[in-house]
Amino acid sequence: MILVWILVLPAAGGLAAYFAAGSNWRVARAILAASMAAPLLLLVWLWGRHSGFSDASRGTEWIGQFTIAWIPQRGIQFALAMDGLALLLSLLTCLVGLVVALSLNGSHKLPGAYALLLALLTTAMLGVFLASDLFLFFVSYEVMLLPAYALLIGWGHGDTRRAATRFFLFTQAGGLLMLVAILGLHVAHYQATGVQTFLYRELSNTPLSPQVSLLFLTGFILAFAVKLPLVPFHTWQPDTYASASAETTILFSAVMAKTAGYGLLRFAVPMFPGAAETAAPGVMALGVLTILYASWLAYGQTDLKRIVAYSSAGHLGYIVLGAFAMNDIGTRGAIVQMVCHGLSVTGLFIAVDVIERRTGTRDIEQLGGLWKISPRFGSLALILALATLGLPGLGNFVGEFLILTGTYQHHPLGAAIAAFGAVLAAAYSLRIVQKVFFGPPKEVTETSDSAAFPMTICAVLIAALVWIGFFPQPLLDAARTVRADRNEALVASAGEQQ
Amino acid sequence: MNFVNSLLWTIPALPLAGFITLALFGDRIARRSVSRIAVGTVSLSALLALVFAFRFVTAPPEGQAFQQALWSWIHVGSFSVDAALRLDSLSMVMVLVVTVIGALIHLYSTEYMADDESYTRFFAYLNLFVAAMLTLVLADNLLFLFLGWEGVGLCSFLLIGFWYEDPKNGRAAAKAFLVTRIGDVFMLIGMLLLFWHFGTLHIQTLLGAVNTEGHSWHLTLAALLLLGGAIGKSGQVPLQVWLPDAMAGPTPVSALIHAATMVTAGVYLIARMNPIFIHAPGIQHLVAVIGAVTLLIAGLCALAQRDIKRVLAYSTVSQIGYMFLALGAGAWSAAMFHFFTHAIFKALLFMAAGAIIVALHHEQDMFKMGGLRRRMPLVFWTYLIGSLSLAALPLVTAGFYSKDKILFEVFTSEHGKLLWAVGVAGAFITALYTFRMNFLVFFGTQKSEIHKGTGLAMALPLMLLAAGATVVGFFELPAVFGHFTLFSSFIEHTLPGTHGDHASHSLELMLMAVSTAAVFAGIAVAYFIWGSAAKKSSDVTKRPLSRLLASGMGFDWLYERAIVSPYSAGARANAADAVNALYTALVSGIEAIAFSLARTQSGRLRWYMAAIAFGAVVGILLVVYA
Repeated sequence: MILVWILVLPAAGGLAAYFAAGSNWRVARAILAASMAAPLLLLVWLWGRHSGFSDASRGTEWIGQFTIAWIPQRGIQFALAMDGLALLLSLLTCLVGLVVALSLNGSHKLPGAYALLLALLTTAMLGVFLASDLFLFFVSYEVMLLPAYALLIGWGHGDTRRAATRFFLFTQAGGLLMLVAILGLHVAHYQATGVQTFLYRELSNTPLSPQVSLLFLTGFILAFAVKLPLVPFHTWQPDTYASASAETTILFSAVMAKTAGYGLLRFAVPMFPGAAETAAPGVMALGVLTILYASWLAYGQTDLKRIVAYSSAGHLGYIVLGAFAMNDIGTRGAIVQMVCHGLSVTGLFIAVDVIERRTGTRDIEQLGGLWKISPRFGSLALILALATLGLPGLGNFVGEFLILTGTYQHHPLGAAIAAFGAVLAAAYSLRIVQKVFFGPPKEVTETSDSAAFPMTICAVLIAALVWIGFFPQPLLDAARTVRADRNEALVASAGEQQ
Repeated sequence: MNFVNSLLWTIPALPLAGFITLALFGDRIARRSVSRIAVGTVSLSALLALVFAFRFVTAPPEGQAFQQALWSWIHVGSFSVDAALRLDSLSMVMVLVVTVIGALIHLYSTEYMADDESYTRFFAYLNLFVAAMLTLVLADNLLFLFLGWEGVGLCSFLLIGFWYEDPKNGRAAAKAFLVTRIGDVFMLIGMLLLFWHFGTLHIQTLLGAVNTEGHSWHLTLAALLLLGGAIGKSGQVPLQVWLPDAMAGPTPVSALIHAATMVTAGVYLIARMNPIFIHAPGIQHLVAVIGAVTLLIAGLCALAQRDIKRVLAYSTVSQIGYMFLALGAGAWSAAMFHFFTHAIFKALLFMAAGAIIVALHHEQDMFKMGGLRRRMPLVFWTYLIGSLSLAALPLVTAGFYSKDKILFEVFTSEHGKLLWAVGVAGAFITALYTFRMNFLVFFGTQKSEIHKGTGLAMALPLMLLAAGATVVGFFELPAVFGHFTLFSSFIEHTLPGTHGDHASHSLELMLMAVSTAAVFAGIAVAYFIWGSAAKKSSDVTKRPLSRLLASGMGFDWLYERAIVSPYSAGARANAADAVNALYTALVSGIEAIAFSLARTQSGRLRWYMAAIAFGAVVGILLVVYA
């Protein structure tokens, strides 16, 4: 039952904010923050209570499950389950949700409605991470689009309609392919066993011919390749990020992109292990291409948000490598990478927002010398840039290093080429530092807007990244997936399993 | 007594604590306290290092190394790495140099940077640098070493770009970080290879496994990759381009990072991983060749510089070339001995140069100096001592003993004759550029006013290092001078011994005579060209050859055109992302089809009838024959 609470609390808070707050942003902020903090605390409590992580034999157990019939005629169940992977990503979701809630301020129109949409998006993302029924997973995955689209249209800047339409079309196309794969799997399972079900653990054991298996896997991969995104399915992303509001961009990049990584690690690779091995070279090649190409594009941008957007795509390319490395090192590296990238990209977009608010521009050619104006802010942004370029001592390095290590086992050349992404990442990261913070101070339209609060958030995020960089073990222990194929012992049952 | 051993962690932790304190509370701390914290923590580390050195000699630890596990770092399945320290004789030498010279440079900086508005930030970075470098040399596994390795790269970036308001400094900083990072990536790939081949990154376990395995292509490749990392960090050809530009940082930074310690990380790495190189003889020979090429190229470039710091920078590149030459020739302890003496005299030279630069109001052009002999006697004498050591003046300088040891062992190594000849030519060039510098700066007529004297905090390190640049040579005397081997006996607890002991004394004396002649020839030529006041004003930078040398042999020019420009211009040109065109084409294709389909909606009944009939026929045919 606790999983249900975690899932619905943000949405309930959003509704409360919508009806209670109206145009009062302070009320909206308070309610939304509380509705994010509550599931966050529940998750922390769950983590603390679950002692099995450090014990290798018990490490791969579900922490909690919840199942209730939904559409029994088709065997569709409202089934939730949580293991280490789902726990960490839910934690990330609620943490980023809390950050977003706290950054609400008077500048947003219709704060109540804004809070509601942010909350609905959060709940949908939690649904993706917690669903253990593939139909429920797909519904959550698609439902994400609705608040996301509304947030883009209603609260974005610039050509929002074009960006939102692109975003919608791309992800919708990907989603449809996944739907076909899921339905196909459902039918194949029915034909083989006579049981109608969408349950993850059941469908995982569906006997499939290698060709069919590869076909279904392709459907999943394409959906996730759009969402992550992988080159060449990435073109919707920079426009979307650039035109979305700061809060929306943070939720998109820090969490929504992770739903794709999660999907790869949870469904695509474990459900079709044989096919995944076949597809691995091709998919990993796309991953390497994404790392290099997106980093190169990041170097050519002048809009800070676009730089971070491309950088984000570049770093998520590593996740594909980790997922298809087919070993524990790569998988857990990918999970750490998702968490750390979520934290660092949140900080980066906050920093970009602060810069835009204080100077009125995101164009790095017009910026300069910000270090002189605010050395503290400069230091924080510098550390976030260092996290992005994968400096040891910060969490992102742990993720990327483990991914490369895992990849090297079967694909040494791929790992070696991907490693050069570190040079390209350093190139664009240092370019930001140099253009924005170094150099002589330029005239800025200094506003009275205080940056103390966002800077505190950045400091907290950095503290977390440093902590993970030096003491990643608790995170690595928790970063385990319950592989469906190894989990037949757990019997399905309706109702509370917690 | 075990209590003392358990304090090993405090050697890197003290400067780290200094950094954290200054970084978090720096703006609430008075300047006086800032310097106390910064200098104090590093000095305490130095003191501890001396205690450990003393204990190392009096009560050698088990297995000739102090060890300490700190915490469990990354454990995933078969991958397992801890944060753990190991202090053996090789690390001991490095730790002593880093902490003692580091402490002197900190002290010197309290005066050099006294008027800088970012005083606290400077010392925070400097402390962090020392902590990172100590982690590098104390780490007992490659990943922890890599943490320090990247850490010094970061500090180097921060300190080169310390005066960030000048975009030129920011560019130099980014260049240093990026060029060294290319090397770092090679090293990282090397680590991946070693891990999957040997199942560990723990250095001692790894080297044990290497020795059991012997030759294999894995080791050759691993050696090559590690060499890539070493070249980047140590500024060797072809990745040497960042080091001269790194002189954009404040002079104490040049002394600490770009002379005495950080750039020798590559030397340390190769020495530390020596079994891998020994089992990959081709790559080890490559190390020697790279060293020889570098020492020659960098020495020639040093000849054509106007900026005193750039001369010293190229000289550093060149001297590290000697160390690589020695490593490649299997003269392990000679390489480390030259590292040791070079750290002392190069730190001395940079700090004395810094004293001149401050006195002349940040004038760095040697052609605008001159005649400083009488006005700055202390700086003159200490600089001269450092210069003589760099030029390897026989018998009385430390540089002579270390360079002579290298040349002798290179000569007696396999295929060593040609490399030895390059080394001797390098010795001539070294003496030449060193004394060109001395004559230009200290002799002739004075051209610039002196604004400021040298205070105690700057003078003291100069005097101590000048003494060191003379005395430490006697730690290791060649066979013909009594064969006193304090240094090599100590370091050969860790590194393989030398092979040249069988050579005759007469050969040793003869080789010594040749290199001595080269040194004196260099000084003499320098005197004839730049010694007399009349000629030295001639601006050599106008001649084409000089221009080529002054620009660093065109490496920058080449890289700019071959790599940097295409990359950045391409990125700018493709800022809108060509992949978009794919989808635009898709959309227009669909639009075109839709448009042509729309034209079929013509409203003419007979076309519709025809189409329906055609469709029906096709349908029937399909049903019948399919």
